This record gives sequence, C-alpha cells and structure tokens, in this order.
Amino acid sequence: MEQKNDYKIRIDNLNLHFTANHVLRGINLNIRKNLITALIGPSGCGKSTLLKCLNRMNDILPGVRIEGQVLLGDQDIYADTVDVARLRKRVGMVFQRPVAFPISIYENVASPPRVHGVSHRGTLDSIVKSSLVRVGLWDEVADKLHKSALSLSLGQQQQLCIARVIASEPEVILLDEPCSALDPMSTMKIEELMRQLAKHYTVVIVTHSMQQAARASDYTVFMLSGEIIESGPTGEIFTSPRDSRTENYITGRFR
Amino acid sequence: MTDRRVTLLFASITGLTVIILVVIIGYVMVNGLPGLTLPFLLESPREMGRTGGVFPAIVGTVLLTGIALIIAAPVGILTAVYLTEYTRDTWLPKIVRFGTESLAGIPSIIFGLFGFLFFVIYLDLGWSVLSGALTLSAMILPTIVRTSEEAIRAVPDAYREVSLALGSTRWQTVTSVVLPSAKPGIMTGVMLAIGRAIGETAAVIFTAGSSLRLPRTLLDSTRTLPVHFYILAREGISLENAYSTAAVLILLILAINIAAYTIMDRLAKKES
Repeated sequence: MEQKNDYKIRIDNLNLHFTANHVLRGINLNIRKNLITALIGPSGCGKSTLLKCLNRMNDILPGVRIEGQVLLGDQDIYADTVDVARLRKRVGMVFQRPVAFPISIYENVASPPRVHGVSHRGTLDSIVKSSLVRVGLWDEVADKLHKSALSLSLGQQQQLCIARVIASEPEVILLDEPCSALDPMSTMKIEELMRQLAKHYTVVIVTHSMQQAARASDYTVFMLSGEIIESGPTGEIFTSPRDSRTENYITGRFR
Repeated sequence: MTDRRVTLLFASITGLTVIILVVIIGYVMVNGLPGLTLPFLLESPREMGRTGGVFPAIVGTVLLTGIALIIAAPVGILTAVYLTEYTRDTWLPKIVRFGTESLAGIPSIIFGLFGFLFFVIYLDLGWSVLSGALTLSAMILPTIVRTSEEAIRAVPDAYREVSLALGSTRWQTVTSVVLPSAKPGIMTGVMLAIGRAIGETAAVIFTAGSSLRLPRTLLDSTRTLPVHFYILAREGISLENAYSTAAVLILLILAINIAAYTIMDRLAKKES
C-alpha cells in the first residue's frame, strides 16, 4: 500500500552525541508528506533535539556530533554539499516562545523573502499578504502592517511567526511546542491553523500536551530516553498502544 | 530611615545635580549670549579673535568631528560585530575589551601627543584637519567599540536562532536582525563619542593646530571651538568672545543631540 513517495523525510539510524551524552539513539523514522506528525515524550527524551536535526539547528551548538542519514525528499541533508541556509528555507521552524523581531509586522514577514533575494516591492507585498491570509491574521493586521510586531498579543505573534515561516515557501514546517506560551484560545487557533497548513506542507510538531497530540496530529511518535518506543497513526497510539511504556505515558502515569 | 526621608534625600541629591548643571550652563549662556550675534557666527575672526566671528572654528569643529566619526564609527561598529558575533567564546574579545577599556580611560592629551608624533611628524601630515581627525578617531574608537559591543550583546539570542532557522546566513542575521535591534544602543554610543570629540581640546591643539583661517583642504591647519576659546581666555584676548564661543559650542552640541534624537524618533515611529 504505502509508497516511498508518501514520505517527505526519512531518518535512518540517526545518532546524536552532545559532548559525552548519547542524546538520540538509533532513530529510524519516516515522516509522511502533507500530514501532521507529533513527537511526544517526557522532558529530556530528545524530541526537540530530533526536531532540530531536521533543519540542522543542532549544528550551531558546539560539541554536537551527528551520525546517520536524514533524507529530505531524495537529498541527504547532512551531506557536505548541502547549503544549510537553503535547507532551512525548505524546512521552516516555529519556536516555543513567539519571537517577533522588534520591527514592523510587514518587515517581519518580508524578511525571509528579502534574505532570499526578493526585492521587488509588489512581489513582497503579495507574499506578505498571502502569508498573513494563510495564518488567518490578515484581517486583524491589514490596517496596521507598519506598526511594531511587538504590539500584537502573544497568540498573534505566534501566528505572525508561522506567517514568517510560510513566507519563505518551505516544504516542511517544524513546530517546537508552539503553544506552550499561549492561552487556550490562542492554542485552539494555532491547532486549527496546523490543520490548514497540513494541506500544503508537511508538519512536524513537538508537544508536551497529550490532548494536543491526540486532537491535532495524524501520526504520533512516542520517545523515551533518546529512543523511539513506538510510532503509528495517532488513533492507534492513543487507543491501543503496543508498548506498556507508551500506555503509561499517555495515561499520565509518568511524565 | 523612613521611605519619606530616603525619598527626600534622593530628591535633594538629584536637585543638586540639576542645579550644578543649570548654574554652569546658565553662567556660560548669560555671559556668552549677548555677544552671540549672526555676524559672530558667520564672520572670520579679526585681531586674533578680539573682534569678528568664529565661522572658521565652527567649520573646523564640524569637519574634525565629522571626519573622525566617518572613520571611527564603521571601524568601531564592525569590530564590535566581529567580537560579539564571530569570536564570542574565545580569548580575543576579552583581550580587545581589556584594550578598549584601558584606551577609553587614557587622558586625551596622550592621544594628542601620539597624534603629534605619529600623524603630524612621522607621517608628515603637519598640523592639519586630517591629523586632528585621525587623532580624534583613535580617541573615540574605544567608546564606540565598547558601547556597540554592549548593545549587540543585549540582543536576545532567540533573535539570532530564529533568523538562522529562517534560512539566513550569519552575515544576513547580523545585517537584518542584530544590527537593527542594537541600533538605539549603538546610536547612544556614537552620540557619546561625538560629545567627546567635539569638546576636545588637548588632542586637537597638538594635531590640528590653531590656524584662524578657513581650511581649504584636509591638509590645512584649523582651530576648533574649544581650542579657540581656550586661546582667547588663556591669552587674555577677549573673555567676552571666549564666553560667546563657549555658548556656540554648547548650542552646537545641543543641536546635534536634538537632531540625532529626532531622527531616531522618526525611525522608531515609522516602525511602531
């Protein structure tokens, strides 16, 4: 049934050492195209580290050693010939706390395309508009595009951050606990938004919240101590986990 | 002590500071403003400055400070970028920081002496606008490096991380995120440097000389406003004109500050 083409990202025997710690152990995982994959597990299980392996954000830390293969489409993203900046354009990332730059709303969204060489004003205008429309923020900010992005609420800032990622036309969007700093209403908005995003992009989310993983993802990956314990369709993982450790975690018996 | 007493104490100390400032500036203004006429601003000095105006000295001051800034600001800011963004956890910034801190504390007359020996004599630039500006740029460079470094360091690491994650290179991160965020702090440092350079006497009198003529090239000698009123007062040429010159200098500094902050405000408003 399943085709190789269904997978956007294929991770093959990935190991990550940080100084003396073996943080990720023999990770094998295929991430499906245009679906939402949730990485869950207790704090320190390596889920954020795994996420950051997908856009090579671990590279900027000194003392990190990575072995194994990560294929994005057919390209090994750890090959020597890979342009890391280009890779990160293809694999966008949204962080735990919304980080809006202290410049205007417009400039925030326009900055990635600018960096990637778009300078034509009309083109930028349309990228900014379509990105903001796609995250559902356009109606709220259309008349104050040139106001500081810091004047927005936290939830709006996180939407803005997602719009900014979209503006660089990525193929994959990584979300690292994107709702942990947000109130329930904003969280709901972001979850609805993820659903919309999955129509166009492959989405990978790290989350602390079982409910969020259960509500908002198609596939769930459960990690413990740097290993993948179990992965599968979200419905199966949450209703009939095969491993007792998964069951213990999702029923809240340990965190 | 009760809160009220502490408040009173702090209020009086602050009051004292304000009074000292007002008295000094007020004294100069009261003595200087009567002689500060349009001809005084626009004419050349006659009889060594006993009569006539201070126009060449205004030009000399602006030229020296401006050129010093054109040299020192880019060098200082780029040095700060290199130290904070490219060599952060190495020994280099520590050594350079120690150096800049020491340099910032050195009396300006030492820079004057150095400028005299190196630029005026050794490089044979003579007493000139160029010698003076080069000396001033060396003198304000540590201030600019130091304050820019502080301002850049204060930019949250999250900004850098996000910018890299958006596919920017390191240099693009510096230009599109780090420097714009650090801009107000860097501007404050540059303003401090201007203040130091514009009021400088010792470093300038040795290197730019004290010619009263309007400089025509960068290799002409010139006299700055502080040097002018130093000479007027010291040689007993004209105390009235010395006060008026001082008033011009204070107003010039005020004008530069107002202009700089208005521009910054405009920029900030455009963005907020």
